[in-house]
Amino acid sequence: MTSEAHAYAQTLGEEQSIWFKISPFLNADDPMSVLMRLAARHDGCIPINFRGERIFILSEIDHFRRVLVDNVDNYHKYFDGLKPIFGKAMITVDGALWQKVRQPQQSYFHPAVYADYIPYLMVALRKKVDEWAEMARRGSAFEMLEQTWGLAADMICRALFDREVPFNPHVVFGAVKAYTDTSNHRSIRLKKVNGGLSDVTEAEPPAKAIGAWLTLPEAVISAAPWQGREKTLLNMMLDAEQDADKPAWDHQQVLDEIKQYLWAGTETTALTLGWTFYLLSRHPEAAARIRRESWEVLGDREPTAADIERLTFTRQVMLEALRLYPPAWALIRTAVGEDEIAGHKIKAGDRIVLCPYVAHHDPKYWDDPEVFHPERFDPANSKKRVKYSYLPFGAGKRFCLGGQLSQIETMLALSQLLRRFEPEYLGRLPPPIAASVTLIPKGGLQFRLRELL
Amino acid sequence: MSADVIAAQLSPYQVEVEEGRTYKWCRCGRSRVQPFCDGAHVATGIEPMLFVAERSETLLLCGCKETGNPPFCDGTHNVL
Repeated sequence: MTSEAHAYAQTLGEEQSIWFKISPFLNADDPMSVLMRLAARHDGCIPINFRGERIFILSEIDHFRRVLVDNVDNYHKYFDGLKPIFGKAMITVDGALWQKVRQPQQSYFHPAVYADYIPYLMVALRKKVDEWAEMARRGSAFEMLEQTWGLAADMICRALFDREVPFNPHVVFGAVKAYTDTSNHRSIRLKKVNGGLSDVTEAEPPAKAIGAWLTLPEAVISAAPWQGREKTLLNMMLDAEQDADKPAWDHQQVLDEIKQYLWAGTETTALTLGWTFYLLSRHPEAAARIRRESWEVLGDREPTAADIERLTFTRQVMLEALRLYPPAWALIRTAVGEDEIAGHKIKAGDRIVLCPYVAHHDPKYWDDPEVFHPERFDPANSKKRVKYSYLPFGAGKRFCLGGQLSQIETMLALSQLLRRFEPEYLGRLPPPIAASVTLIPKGGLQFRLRELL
Repeated sequence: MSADVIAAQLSPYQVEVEEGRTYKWCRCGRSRVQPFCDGAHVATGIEPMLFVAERSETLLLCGCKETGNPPFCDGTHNVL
């Protein structure tokens, strides 16, 4: 383990993420039902006092609008517990630094650029199809999230960095899970020895996991370019590091941005795909429709951006999966000044937890909210939707920069993988949820594949 | 009766604005000088939105024309 990794590992758990502070009630067997009941009992604003720290869990669209749009400058991002993982990446910072880091990245997340990315995404998908054909022949059970995470990482590396994945996705998936699956980072750093607490040694799994994680950005940078493209997000960042006029872009910033893409930019897509495959396994008629749409729209041609726009039912299924299982189920902020929300006086330093999950399941906005019904996202119905009732990618100026790219990745993957395979979900019904940083299936999503001939 | 607003692009426009200058943000989606108005809204019944830049800065202006916070992008393009 490098000294940097060691230093990072030493700080794990010093600052606890808000997710871990509210974990006592979210660690319940069915945390989302608990959350829904509490939100209903408190009219959408659950006040919590945690050792002197005030936390407000908000779930009404007026609150979302206040915090994310109308009074956005009063609410800063709150990522303290995840600093060891993301550093000062764009997703974690505010103000001038955020502006300086975000602006040059914007042009790599534009519809015109997505059209160029499609062939690279297809290379990753064809590789996955070959792997799945082999797995279908073996017929054994496997963890779907490991598969979708590997696929998402491959897509991101090729499209944004012009690299083939320069690490073993299996190992990194294990490292990432060491953080996402635990409710308290302190407990993975410290262990009980003779009745006292002692730091885990460098040889133990948590330390090895963060060591593995921190080697990834340099592995990406030093790997040989895949196609030798000049204009890539990675090259833009490396050029900015050399540019004396862009002091915000030091080497650590570049490393942290890469970490952000390898986690926030992949895990969310991986979860979207995983949850969608689960839903489709329960609704084979919808899977059959995606399959038909794939052959009708794409045939055997190389897909184009225009084709993806015509995958209308595939898109409705994806949006419905994001409604039922939004990976970013909660958005965390900290107040910098006074405000008033839902009759509560907000003070500087108060923590704000916005819960899109609750709005996504609120019968005020959705008929039969627990029912899988992709047609509710038919474009003819989208204008009727209540503004800010559907926030799988956040809202306001901090909306998810990669939201559309993730959707293209997901639609292409569903379309290409389902036409060849029938994934069968083997786990508990419904899959138990863990409300971690993201909305994850507790214990994963076990699947088996059948190849369609 | 008003015509429908159409999405100029499903992504914001990143533009530099100058403090004190007035800008006309295209609201109908038909302008060819996005994200600003070129008069193409005539006969749509949809008027552009005038705004004055509070300072010289880089802004993300709405491209899908469905934002809840005009003229600024609020991420609505992600869920259209």
